[in-house]
Amino acid sequence: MNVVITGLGLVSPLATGVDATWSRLVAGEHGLRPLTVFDPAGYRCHRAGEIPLTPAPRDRAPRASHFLLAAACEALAQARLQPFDGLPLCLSTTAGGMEFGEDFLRGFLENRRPALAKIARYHPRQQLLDLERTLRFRAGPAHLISNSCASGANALGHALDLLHTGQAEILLAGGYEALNELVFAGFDCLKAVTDEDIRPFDVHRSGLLLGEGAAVLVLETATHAARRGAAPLVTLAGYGHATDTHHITQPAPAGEALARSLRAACTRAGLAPAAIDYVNAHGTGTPANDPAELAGYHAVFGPDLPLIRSTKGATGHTLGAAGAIEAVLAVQTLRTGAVPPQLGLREPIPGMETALRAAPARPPRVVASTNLGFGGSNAALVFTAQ
Amino acid sequence: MTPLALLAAGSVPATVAAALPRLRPDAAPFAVRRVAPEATQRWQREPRLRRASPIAHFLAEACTQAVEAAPVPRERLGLVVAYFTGPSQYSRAFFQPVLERGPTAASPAYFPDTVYNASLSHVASVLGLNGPAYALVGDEAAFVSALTVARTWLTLGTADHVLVAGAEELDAIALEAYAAAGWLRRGFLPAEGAAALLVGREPDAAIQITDLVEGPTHRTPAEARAAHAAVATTFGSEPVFPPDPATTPRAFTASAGWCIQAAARQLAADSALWVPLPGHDHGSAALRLCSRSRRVNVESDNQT
Repeated sequence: MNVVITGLGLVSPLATGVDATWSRLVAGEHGLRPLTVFDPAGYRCHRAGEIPLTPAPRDRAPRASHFLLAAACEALAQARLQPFDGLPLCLSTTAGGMEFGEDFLRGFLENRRPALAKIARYHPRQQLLDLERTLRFRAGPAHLISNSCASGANALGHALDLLHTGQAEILLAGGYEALNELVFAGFDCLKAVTDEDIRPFDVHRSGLLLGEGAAVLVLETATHAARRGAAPLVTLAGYGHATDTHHITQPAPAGEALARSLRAACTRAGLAPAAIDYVNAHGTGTPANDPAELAGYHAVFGPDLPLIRSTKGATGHTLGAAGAIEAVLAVQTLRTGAVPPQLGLREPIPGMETALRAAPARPPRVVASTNLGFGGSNAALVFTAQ
Repeated sequence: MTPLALLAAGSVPATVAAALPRLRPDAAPFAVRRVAPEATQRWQREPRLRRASPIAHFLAEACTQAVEAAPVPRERLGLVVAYFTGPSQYSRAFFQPVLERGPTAASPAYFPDTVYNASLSHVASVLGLNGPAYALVGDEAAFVSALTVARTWLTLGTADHVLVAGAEELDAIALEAYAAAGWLRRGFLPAEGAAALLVGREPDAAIQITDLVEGPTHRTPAEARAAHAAVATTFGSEPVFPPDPATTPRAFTASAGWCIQAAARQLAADSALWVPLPGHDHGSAALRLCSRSRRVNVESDNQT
């Protein structure tokens, strides 16, 4: 059974909207800027992929709800789909409306009376409820995955699983994340962040920058899409996932779980790894991640790597949204034939020169998107052109 | 869809009445039910868990009990854990000093354990699980979502067996939120703990989970009643496991697991039983247990 994507929606630090984000990305621009959502004084890092919310929303929803809603509306419009009661959701986040939880705790420490509306909306599930309320529908089964930085890829993969097993014919899948101080402080204290440019897969990489955003995709069986006259954009052909038990924050140096995920995704797609033209990689730019990830790619592809880019140099690391955002960017490569430049690259890790710098010899027909996360979550998605 | 064979269970219940100090020290402490310290003692010395939050210990104990009761090959064993508040203790332990004393007070001893899937990761490591693993977020109904994930993996062959669990820990920040939302005035008794089920495809297992029903979400009490009623329409005339009294200690996803375990214990031979799992916050769900000799209706999956 073929599963196709008929709608894409994206809110990223580069822009709101898929086309606007893509234009800036392939032009080599980035969306990293000084942090304003909280005061970063005292932290090592003072920049992030922050999305300016202008004009400031007048309702009481957290930032994550706004991102999710905007991405969902764009995806639904492209798919020409009205959300209906019973429409399943497969979404992901790591922190949801955490800034409301922070404000709740801050209120106690400052002896302020907590705002009830904010308490009720800090929980990550509330973004799903905000989506339903705003778009006036009641979702069918609504699954929210929180597998750290692989969450978004897991949400799309889980959606594929539900469609392949006949538990749904169409659904919304994606991820959302908003910057918040708790998570920022965490990455800062782990010394995983940098205040320089992000340099994924570069010898001189010094860490990641955080980002925020959301991506939503309309996934449906090809039969369902044909029945309602929806135009397929690409096929989501494969998904694989595996757990790395090496360490809670650091991937196993040999990248075995990533390799298993990627191989499983290829097998499910009915493709050999050599068929993959391009990988939209996790590529955080941290000292530990990139070599482990590269080892995983070598285990799957051998010495001849496909084209590889990490788009985090432009968006920052959007954590629970990253897998979904990067999936949309991988789909854009299939749709446009373009591969974005590798931002921040000065001196590639040995063996990656061609993978990171070469232009595609022909428009990519098969692309993968990969993610690794805290707790050893690894996931890979394989998309094919129509 | 493949029915789920219920092979074994593990439980870390909240058995100890305790008082949990509030964030404002002048306020009366919260009445709660806690896990007895000896229940998770074996995990205090486990290297991966030595610095982990209590929720990781609860989850490790419940999952280990289940796999000890019915050993299955670990290399094809998946893990799905549902959480409501998740790692609230370490989240506050990490962030409160940051608010009080600034960024230099942030401690990496706590931060990785603030993410939802941290305890799942620890348990995967302790049990040697390298396959599929998801952390799901939701209330009691998320336990049924976790079972849906397990059933999907078993149907696709992603795993041969799956540990499905719910785990919660207590912290004053979450309890202050429940108090502010009025839950505690309505008799809600917060608890901590974990519950785990080991499920597989074995058709001759004594108990099968034949139906998983995930109902609509709700925001208001009226919507909640409507959502739970919509789920109940699938029960037909079959017996329904009675809901716990309102005074029963509640640990959201763990409570859902305990409820399923209690229903399974009560399931007579050659019978079926619906187990409603109305969520406290936004979810509504139910499942149907069926004992071995009763014909399993594999076509009756419902989604309200």
